[in-house]
Amino acid sequence: MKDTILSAKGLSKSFAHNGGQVHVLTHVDLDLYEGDFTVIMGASGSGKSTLLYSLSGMDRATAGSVTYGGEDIVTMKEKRLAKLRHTDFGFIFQQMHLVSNLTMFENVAVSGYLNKNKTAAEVKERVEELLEQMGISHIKTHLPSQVSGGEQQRCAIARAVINNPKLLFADEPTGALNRKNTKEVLNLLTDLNQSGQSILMVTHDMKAALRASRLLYIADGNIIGELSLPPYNPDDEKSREAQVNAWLNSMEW
Amino acid sequence: MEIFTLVKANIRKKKSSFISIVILMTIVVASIVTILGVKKNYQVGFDRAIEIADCGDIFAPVKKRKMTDELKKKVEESSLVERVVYYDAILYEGLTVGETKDPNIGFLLEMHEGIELYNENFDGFVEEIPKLEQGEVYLPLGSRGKLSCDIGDTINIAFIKGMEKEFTIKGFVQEPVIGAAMIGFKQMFISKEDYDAISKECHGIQTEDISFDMTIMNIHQSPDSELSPAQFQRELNLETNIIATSLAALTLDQSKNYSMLVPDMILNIVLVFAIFLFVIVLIVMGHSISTEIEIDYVALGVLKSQGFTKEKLRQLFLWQYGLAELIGILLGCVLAIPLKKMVGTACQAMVGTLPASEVINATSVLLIFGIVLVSFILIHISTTKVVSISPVRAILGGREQIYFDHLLQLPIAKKVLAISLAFRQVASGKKRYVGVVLIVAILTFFMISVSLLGDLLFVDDAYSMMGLVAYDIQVQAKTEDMAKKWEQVDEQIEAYSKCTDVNSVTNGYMSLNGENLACEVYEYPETIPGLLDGRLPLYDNEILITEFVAESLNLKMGDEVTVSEYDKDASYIISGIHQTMSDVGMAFAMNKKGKERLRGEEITFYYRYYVLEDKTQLDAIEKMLQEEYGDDLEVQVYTEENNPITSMYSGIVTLLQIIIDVFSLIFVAVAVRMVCAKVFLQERTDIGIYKAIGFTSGKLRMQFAMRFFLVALIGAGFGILLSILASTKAIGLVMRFAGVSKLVLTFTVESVLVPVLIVSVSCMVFAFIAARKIKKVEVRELVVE
Repeated sequence: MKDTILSAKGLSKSFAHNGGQVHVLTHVDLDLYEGDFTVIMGASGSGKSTLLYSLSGMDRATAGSVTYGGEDIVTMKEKRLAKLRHTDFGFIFQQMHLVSNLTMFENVAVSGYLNKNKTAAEVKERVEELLEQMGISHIKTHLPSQVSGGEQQRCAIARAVINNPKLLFADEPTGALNRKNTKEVLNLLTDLNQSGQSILMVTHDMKAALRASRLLYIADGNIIGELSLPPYNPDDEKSREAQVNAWLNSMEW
Repeated sequence: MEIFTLVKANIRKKKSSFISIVILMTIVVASIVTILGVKKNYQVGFDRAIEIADCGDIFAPVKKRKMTDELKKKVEESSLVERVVYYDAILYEGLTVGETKDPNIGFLLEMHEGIELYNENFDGFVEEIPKLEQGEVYLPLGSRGKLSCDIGDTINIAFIKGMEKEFTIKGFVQEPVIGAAMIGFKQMFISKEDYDAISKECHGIQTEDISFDMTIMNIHQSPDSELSPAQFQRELNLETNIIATSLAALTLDQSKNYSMLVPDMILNIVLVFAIFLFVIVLIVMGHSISTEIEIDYVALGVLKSQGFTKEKLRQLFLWQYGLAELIGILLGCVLAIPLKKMVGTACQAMVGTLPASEVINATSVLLIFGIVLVSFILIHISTTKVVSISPVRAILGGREQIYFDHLLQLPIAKKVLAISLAFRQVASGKKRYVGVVLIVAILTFFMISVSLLGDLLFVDDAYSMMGLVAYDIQVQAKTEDMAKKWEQVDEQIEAYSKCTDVNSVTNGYMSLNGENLACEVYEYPETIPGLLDGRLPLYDNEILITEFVAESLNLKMGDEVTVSEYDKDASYIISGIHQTMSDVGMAFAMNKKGKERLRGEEITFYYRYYVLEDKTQLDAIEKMLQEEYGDDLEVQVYTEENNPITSMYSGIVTLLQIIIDVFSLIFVAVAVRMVCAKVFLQERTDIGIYKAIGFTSGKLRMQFAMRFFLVALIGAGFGILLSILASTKAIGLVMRFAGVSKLVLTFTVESVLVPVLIVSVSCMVFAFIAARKIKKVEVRELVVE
């Protein structure tokens, strides 16, 4: 039995629109488990990104709760939430979103500097390690605008994990990458997961979904299906793909 | 039509910049229109007062004893003169209202036609002037502020030989010639009964040397004469010697200049400041347009792809910003109406005449037209970028990649994370902050300059540099006998404290090469202050002149000049150039022996001043002198607080400082808010990223504020540099109004640091406030996918 790392109960999110309300999430109940590589899939506008942002505290839910470490993220004060973001959570965006005027090294280091338990020297050492691990140490002094999208995303992953987060959120991390870079990024995420990192990823890319150990399907603002998979093994990719395809078809994907 | 739809949408979307431009323009236009309006209204009011009072082009009070029939005839028959209006007057020798003393001489006249009586609000005149009863006096309005008096107060007027009379102030009149607070001597009006009684009494006590009977001459220049007022005075004097014979003659031009001296100084500084504020508005507008093009690159590219020509897109900006300007101009003009009334009323106490109430004048209209023209040219130039917008690049995302100068790439450090990140933001977006740097530089320059202006009288040797004496005690002998005991008084004072300067000085008007000028006569020439060049007039045939006199009379050191007073004249050599604020620099100086050579008789000084080494003895000396000499000697002790020069000067400078500081703060607030709003839009994503990795809103706001603090410091640095280069010149121009042609400014830590801190900290605070959006916006909204 895995430990629950984050738990959502009755999570709802609505937006005011044209004098009425648009309900993007409706009473979502969800538990995320430690060590899982959870992937949420769904059609465009199904609410998958909104769910990710609400679970990570990036966005406030309209109703319901998201419990993490005994605390409700929905009602959490901004300061506490900010601390959570640089201690317990990591975040990877589809568009990488590196700070344009910081070098690759600095983009990762700034996150590390927020951690009060580490000295500047320790942070720098860890950044070097991560950049090495991500294969981008040779471009550490480059600005984001001077490197490729894949290299940017690897830098974003390094930034997300610099403080050893308990849970890593990824919003379509391969959405803006080409095939080669997609594979590299997915490999990195898989490696991270296999070394114990819990990940929650939103995607509509089948190749990315294959890396999951747990697949969730969202439609009309609620989770309507779930599929558990064994840990990813590149040798099993074909059979895994068939299994996932069948499941997605059953979800009317 | 499509343009107006877009303009409407743009204004709705960019309310903040629209409102900012409206506010800034309102302030600029309101200031400019107010200042020009007040100046013009006083000019019109002054001309009206002159016409009603039938003042001549020259005001010349002449002692009746000197007014021979021959002199009268000469003046009246001069081809330069149209007519002369005469009024009898009694010379008075000083005034006291409560605790306030005015040692200046003046004239008491019977109330006559042309003098208008102010109503109780001083905003108009009463139609029927109540007849003065015995014991009542009408004072010119300038005396109200100068003597801190009001209707119903008792005024004690001193005449020759210590004779005194008490009057009740019945009202204040408009007397345009010498009625302003800045002019020492005054014309006051009493009843015929009082006039006759005082005249009779004075007749009884006057001696051969001391007389009271005056004739005030209002000399009208002939309409055929094309001479300037100064030339007319000079030519008439050369022809008739009337100016040298008079006690103190003034042309109408001089009257006007002296009356408006202080308001003009303040208004001109604020006017220049307002023009610089307009430059700031242009900078803000230019910055706003260029960032708007950057931010809206995609939208503009799409519009281009839809068939909008570059001209149409430029028109869009022209309408958007032009409309904001026009609304600002309109509001400014409306705001200027009450402001003109307020400022006009505030100046009235100094000027003494009632300003006209013209709503707008040609100069203001012309200036507004200039403002609109310059703004439209700027908008046109700023929108040049629109031409190069490519629809293809716009659709592909639009923004250019950021590259920055590696020289400025300081490392990001954990210990000073906020500062190092702030520095990086500035270094990587230099163009965004150029506007703020320029604005801060201009405001800092002004604030430092006004601060230096404020310090001018409070630095070492400042008084002496400007030809003033910062004396501690001034004593006035009330009798001739007393005026002969100065050596004895000196010794008694020296027994308490050593004196670093002791001198007697008397002021009067004399003619120099025919030009009527103020002359300061010093008993001891060795301590005449303000020597700029040459040497002090140690001999009886030497004088000092100011640079202004040298310029206007085309004189230089070593030149021989003729000085005349009444019917006597003598030649003198110019031994040096000095500066003095006496008669705003149109003055010269000589020593006692020099004056005696001209007069052919010994002269007596009634005033003497002392500068003490030990200031703690002031009270003891005052007590001793009062006990020793009683009513024969009037003692005035000056400290920094009650020094009339420094207190008046401080008042003016404080007012200026308030105006400039308040305007600066408003401009910093609006400009920073506007730039922040644009920067915020440009950096939305970055802010979102920082929030996503764990920065709190507070930290990000502080980082934002810190960035503006750094930018402000850079701007302030330029401001300091500008001050070093230009403040002396700028203040010099201002001080020329007061008669100071040369000055050396002392930059103190306080005069530089305080303005720098005010601007920088306010920039930081306003940026912190403007960045409150960071707190309100959720990360999800900031991170645009």
